[in-house]
Amino acid sequence: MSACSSPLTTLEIRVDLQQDNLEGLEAKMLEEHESRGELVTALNLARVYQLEGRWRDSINAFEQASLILEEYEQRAIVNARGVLGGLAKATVSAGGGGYYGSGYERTLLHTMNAMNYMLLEDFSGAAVEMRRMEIRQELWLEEKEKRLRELLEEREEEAEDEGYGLDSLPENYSMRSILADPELRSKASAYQDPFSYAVSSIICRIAGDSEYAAVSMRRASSLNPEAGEMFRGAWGGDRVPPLPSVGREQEVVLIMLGGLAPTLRREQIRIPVPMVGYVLVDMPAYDPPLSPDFTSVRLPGGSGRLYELLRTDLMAYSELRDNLDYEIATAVSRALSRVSVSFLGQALLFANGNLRKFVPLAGILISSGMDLLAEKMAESLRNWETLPAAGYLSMFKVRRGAALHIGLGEATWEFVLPERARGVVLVLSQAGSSNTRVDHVTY
Amino acid sequence: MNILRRHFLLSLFVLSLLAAGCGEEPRVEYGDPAAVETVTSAWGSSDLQNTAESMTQSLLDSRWVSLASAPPKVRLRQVVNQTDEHIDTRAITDKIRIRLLQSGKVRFLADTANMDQVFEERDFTEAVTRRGDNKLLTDTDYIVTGTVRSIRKVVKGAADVYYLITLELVDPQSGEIVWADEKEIRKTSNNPKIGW
Repeated sequence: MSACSSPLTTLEIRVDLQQDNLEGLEAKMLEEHESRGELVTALNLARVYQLEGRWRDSINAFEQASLILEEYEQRAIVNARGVLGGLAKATVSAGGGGYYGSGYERTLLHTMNAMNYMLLEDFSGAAVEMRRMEIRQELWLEEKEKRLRELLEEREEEAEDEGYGLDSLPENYSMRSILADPELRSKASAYQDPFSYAVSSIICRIAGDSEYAAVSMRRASSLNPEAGEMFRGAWGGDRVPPLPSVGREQEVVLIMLGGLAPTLRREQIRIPVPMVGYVLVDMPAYDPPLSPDFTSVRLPGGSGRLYELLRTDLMAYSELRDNLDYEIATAVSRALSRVSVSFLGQALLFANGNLRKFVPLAGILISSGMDLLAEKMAESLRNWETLPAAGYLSMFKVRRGAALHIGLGEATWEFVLPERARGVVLVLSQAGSSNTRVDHVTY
Repeated sequence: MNILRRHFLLSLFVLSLLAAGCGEEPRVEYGDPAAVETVTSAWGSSDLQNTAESMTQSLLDSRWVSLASAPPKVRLRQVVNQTDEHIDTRAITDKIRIRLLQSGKVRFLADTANMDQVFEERDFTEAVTRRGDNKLLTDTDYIVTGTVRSIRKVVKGAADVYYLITLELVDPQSGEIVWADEKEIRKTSNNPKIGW
């Protein structure tokens, strides 16, 4: 019976995070995950454990998410669940087949889990997660390239049919202006995530795998020149330096994760369809992200600079833009199939003289039944709501044994660097205005 | 009436299936620990056993051990995990140590990971021990280090993973690598063509 419980809404999650009700939210999420056992419920739970500083529990929840994803990826090439899911998606609801995350969410799963291992002082475990992240990035890139290749081929084959595209989207579609945004267009080619590669480089260097750190650094730098600037500034060139020995200065790495990613929802819009005119379809749309408030961050010594390397909103919108043709096509197919099923049902009743009087009632019942089914299926259509909206990195050096003060707004956190440590990694997480924590690990 | 009877029997059948399913406990069985394990393509017990077996034999056959006038004193250092899996590399070194100790051809000193406990014990017994005996703790003839690496290729429906495990016997005084060997493991997995 518990499997029928309703999912938590984005609003509930955001309100609990804003009010710093992590314990209450964790209890609700645990119940939801035990009842539904979906990828998103595991990811949300893992992130809330992380915000509570429960690194081991967070690792376990992330592992559950990984297992769900692996089970999905290892399904038979032609599998009944996939076929039924595709059929449901084309006829009933976009939620048919469940939600198994976008490429960036699958990638960030490992980046966020690496933070858990790192804060447990297990840099080797964190490096493992970063290697898993890289495999996911490659798969994501391949997937994107394949999709774009197919799209281009389709367009070449049907030169006269230019697809739906941005111009054919109605003015009232909330995502229209966002998808046409020049910033998104300019960054749309950066399918990979420079933040994860930059974190990978830092972690692998500390874990003693400098070759891997160098590869990750080069990848981060090629995806975002700012990452290159950060590494050159901190490490004094394009090479990964060895960890420093005891000297006058100590290294500081600051990782800041804040805000909440945009959340997926369905939006009803009217789409022009040749021969039919217009149909009302449900399209994916995003509620805006909750931006972090890092405007008043005070760094130790005032020497560090924050580099914004992660923007989950840009990645989400970019994914949506790439999938637009497919989303519109399946949405139109769903709208038409609803009309067809309703029409077929009524025609069958009409053909039977005794049941002819029930035709209007049957129309309403069929329509309501499909609505209910669609609504139930749409419950699974959620993205990772507790994923941070933005990620920043900063690397600098301070005097050995110095007391570090990280300030945010009126709050200040102090750490005294142990004399024997080569450096410190500080992780500042903010998932709501009243919910900020700073953790650190020395190496 | 026939329809009613058919419905009743069908319902009874479905209910009995459900009841049987609900009452079923998970079945536990003992298996052969040495049996080949192929549940997934991830690092598993067979890989651990094969690696330990081949590395131990290779080390025992090396002249540094087989021709030594007295069993050399060895300390196991960390085997670094550079794969994309959370492999407990201590399981590899523990297994190798047990095999080598059982051979009687090698003496082992405490791991660096256990040194704190050893130092505690030494401090505890220092009153009755001669200082010269303590030298045994640091008097290592060789250290064993190693790395586990992997290359994984994944495409839709298939995966190929290659593991390379390397071990080295190093003279800590000179830094000379006196013995090294490797073990390669390759595993492939393909998703079934048709299934649920």
